[in-house]
Amino acid sequence: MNNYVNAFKTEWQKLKHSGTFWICFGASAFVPLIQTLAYFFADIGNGRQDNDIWNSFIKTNFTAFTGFFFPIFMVIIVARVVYLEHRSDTWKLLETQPVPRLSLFLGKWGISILISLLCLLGVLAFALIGGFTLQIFKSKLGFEKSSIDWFIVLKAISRYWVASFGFIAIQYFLGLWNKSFALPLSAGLVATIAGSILAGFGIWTWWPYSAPSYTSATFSGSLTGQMLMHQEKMSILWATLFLTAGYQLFVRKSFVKAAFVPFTRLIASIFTVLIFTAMAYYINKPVELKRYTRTVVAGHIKSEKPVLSLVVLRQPAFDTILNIPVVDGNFHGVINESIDAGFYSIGTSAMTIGVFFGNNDSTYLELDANKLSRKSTISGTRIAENEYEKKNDENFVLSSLTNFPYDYKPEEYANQLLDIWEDGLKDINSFKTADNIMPAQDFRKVQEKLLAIRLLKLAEVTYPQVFNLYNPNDKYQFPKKLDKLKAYANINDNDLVSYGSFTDYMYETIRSKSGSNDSTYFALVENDIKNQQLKDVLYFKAINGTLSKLKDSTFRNYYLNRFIRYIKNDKFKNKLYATNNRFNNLQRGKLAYIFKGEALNGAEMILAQLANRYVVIDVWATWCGPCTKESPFFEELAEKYTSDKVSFMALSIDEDKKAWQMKAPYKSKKVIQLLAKNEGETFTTAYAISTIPRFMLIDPEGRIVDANLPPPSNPEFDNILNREIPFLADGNFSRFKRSF
Amino acid sequence: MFAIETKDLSFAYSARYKAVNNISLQVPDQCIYGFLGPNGAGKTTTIRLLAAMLLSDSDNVFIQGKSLQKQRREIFRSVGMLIETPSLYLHLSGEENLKIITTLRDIHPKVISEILAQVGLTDAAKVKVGKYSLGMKQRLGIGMALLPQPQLLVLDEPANGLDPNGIIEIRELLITLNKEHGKTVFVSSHLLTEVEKMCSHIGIINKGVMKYQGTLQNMKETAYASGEVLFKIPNTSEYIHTVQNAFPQARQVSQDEMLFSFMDQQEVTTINRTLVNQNIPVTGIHVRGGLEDWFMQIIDQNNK
Repeated sequence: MNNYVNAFKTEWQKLKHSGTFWICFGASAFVPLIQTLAYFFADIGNGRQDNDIWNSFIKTNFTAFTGFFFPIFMVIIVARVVYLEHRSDTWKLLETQPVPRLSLFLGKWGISILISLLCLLGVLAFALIGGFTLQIFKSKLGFEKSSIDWFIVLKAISRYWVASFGFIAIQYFLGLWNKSFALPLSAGLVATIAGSILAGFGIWTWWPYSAPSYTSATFSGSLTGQMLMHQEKMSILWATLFLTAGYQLFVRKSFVKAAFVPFTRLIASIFTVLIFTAMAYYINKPVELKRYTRTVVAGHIKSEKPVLSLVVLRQPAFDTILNIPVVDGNFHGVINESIDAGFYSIGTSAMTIGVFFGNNDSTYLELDANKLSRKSTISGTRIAENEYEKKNDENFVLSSLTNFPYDYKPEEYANQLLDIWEDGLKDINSFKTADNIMPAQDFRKVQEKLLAIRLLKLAEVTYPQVFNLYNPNDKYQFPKKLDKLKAYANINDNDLVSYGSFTDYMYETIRSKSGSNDSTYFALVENDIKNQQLKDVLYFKAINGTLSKLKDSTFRNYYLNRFIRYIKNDKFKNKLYATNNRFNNLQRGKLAYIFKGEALNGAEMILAQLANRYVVIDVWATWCGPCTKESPFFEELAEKYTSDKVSFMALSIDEDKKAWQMKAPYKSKKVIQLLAKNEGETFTTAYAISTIPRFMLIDPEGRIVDANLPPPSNPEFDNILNREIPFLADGNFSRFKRSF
Repeated sequence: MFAIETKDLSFAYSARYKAVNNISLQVPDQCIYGFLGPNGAGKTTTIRLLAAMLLSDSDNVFIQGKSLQKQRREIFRSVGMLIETPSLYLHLSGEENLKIITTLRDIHPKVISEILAQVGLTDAAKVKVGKYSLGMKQRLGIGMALLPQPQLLVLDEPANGLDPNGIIEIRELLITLNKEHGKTVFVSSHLLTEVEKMCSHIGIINKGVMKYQGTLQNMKETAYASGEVLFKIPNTSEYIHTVQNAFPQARQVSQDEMLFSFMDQQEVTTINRTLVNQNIPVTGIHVRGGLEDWFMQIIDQNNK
């Protein structure tokens, strides 16, 4: 031990005047300096206050530094530390001292990883300096209000450190092998550049030079609570292998003698490599998490308003399966019934998220319902499944096939679908989280089926429609090569009932047989489908669709009563009744729901205040593109017709009041600008508003004339106004009154 | 017990050529051993093998009776080495270079100034070694070998790059270390004259093979033992028969040259006296052989 300490001390002495510490200082100051300037001048984080700015600032610094600069820097340092001895062959000096070679060898290793640590701590120090500077000179970024999570930061630093061991050991080995300065250095540079490219694509996750990038990807640590993740474990393994090899090379002086000669040494080398490969395989092999003994939903919720309980709802009908009380933000609930694996909605009025779980899954949720920092973390036994759902890599070809099917010939279209299918299977089965967890078999199967269904829908519905349109004389043939997909789309598949894409596909498949005839449709569902839940969904879809098309209330009521008895689930039934009621309430002559709104000056206004005049209403929102297109037409008519007896109103359903306040004042002054009070969606529910823009006409007695006018860009809009509002064009309502 | 002993030491960098071939060094304790050979003879390879920087395939190097293969660390506790060019950290000062040795060996750093004085570098102690002249570097290298006050010093061409004064200083230093402190010194060199001036024992190596090993005295005796003397005599043929009566080994080599081989230098005097007494006109005497010639002959043997 004493020998090692002495060897380490001499390494320290040698680094004096070598400029190494200055390089270290510069390397760790560089990124925090740039980041601080960027935050200062480029107004990063402006507009949206980040509640967690200290942590995100530190994380940004480390992410920017470690992906590329850190490995490059260490490659340079290790090259210098080793070349120091090659330069005037001071190995001769070291080796003729009564010190074990192992101490000499590990002394250099020790000094290299010490510099690596110093450099990481340097980044932290400069990030702190930068952060405090920003706190003083740029207070609106909100550094004062946030604090540093030291546990996470220090853990991340130690993980970065461990992640550097692998490539440091490899560089050390290369330095010992090749006595030049340039060759190990350039090999290291190439390997680092390759590493950052590989990490960008997320492939070769075992590549030692990209380990810090993967550490960055999981800066706040493992979701399964492990101290080290696969890239760090892999780094330790690389380090062990290359230190062993490096030491042999150091002692034996020649690669051949270190690895191959004599025969026993060759056997030992082969054995070492085999053990390394086996361990690497074991570390990199994705893990499937085991199920738990009970079905548990637990976690913590942060919210501005107190949350008393959370509900767990089952799709597609949104049946409540569990109500979990929340105490001080903490909740813990156990589901005793047996449930299918699938997506469940969990939440409160403040926040709802979709979570995948099933029987005997333990789910832990970290929810932040605060408006500014809204976010959710799902951990537990279904980490990978929920991570998979989050990844949003829309296939470009797939969206082209969906949106522009007429660009493809049948053969070409089928080939593209087949390619997507094959790539998709690979993606589904090779997906793993940064924690190296892969989704369980049941989830992967479901994803395969969903992909198959999506592709089948294109091949069976989307493409044939276009084909028949362009080639009325030819008959579309379903491509034989896609037949294998059909095996994945079984109408009696219980696993898929909670997925909208599956039920939509089933709906359309059955509709394509039944046409618009509901009796035929219901008979087909009744005969072909066994799963009651799926039946309910399909009945519900059909009835819901027809209801919205029927204008006459008597006929609509009759229709509903005739078909609703097919449905078993009360939730679905109640939904349909409620929808029908809303439609009935929006019938001509019904009293309009009296909504409240806020004017631009902040005053409250209710619909009743506009009694004794016709009110034309444009329901819109700032984020709605089509609304913006329609509003000039609406405003033109408002300019033309507004009088003491006709008012035009733009009623915004924006949740973001500021956005509305920014935009509304610049709209026509003839139009009454109002922000709807839509708490709990009372307004949108009352008027059955599922899409906007929506245009409505209410008469002077507060009764509905038409709750769903065509858009004002359509001349029919003007026609209806003229038909329904007497003497509208005169702009003088009194004359109309006198004529009675 | 020998200070250094090798038993049939061989080493090959490549399969075809042995750089060192069956060398059996025997360096007695407390001697100054000159390891002599031309450039490329295998001196440095041998020394690298002694330093365990090249590894011999078998256990055949013993230093102070200890096996180099098994007791490397113990051996180096009492051995100081300077191999080829001195191993120095050019970005550090002379003092800092010595400090590295004291740290590694756990020696009190106070000896540093003594060593610097001994090798005459006190004034340059704080100067970066990169700025040293070749001679200064050489002296610092020797200082580094001396620093642990070793019982055995192994120096590879210590006079390299030194000016005549420097060479004398080093020579005297080594002699002092040997005479007054009883240290064994093993010096390699390609200069016979240098070795002759200080060594008590000599080993000669050429093309990896040991050509001679023994004391300086012995070597001189051997070298001078079989000499030839050339007498310049005009019209040699007139006298050759007369001379051959007295010295049957006499040969006429040219018109005016007569060659005598002899076993003892005394014979040259006898031959000369005899010729003069017989009134044979000797115009010049040239003794061939001696150490230099003998040495040249030994190292060229394979060429002829």
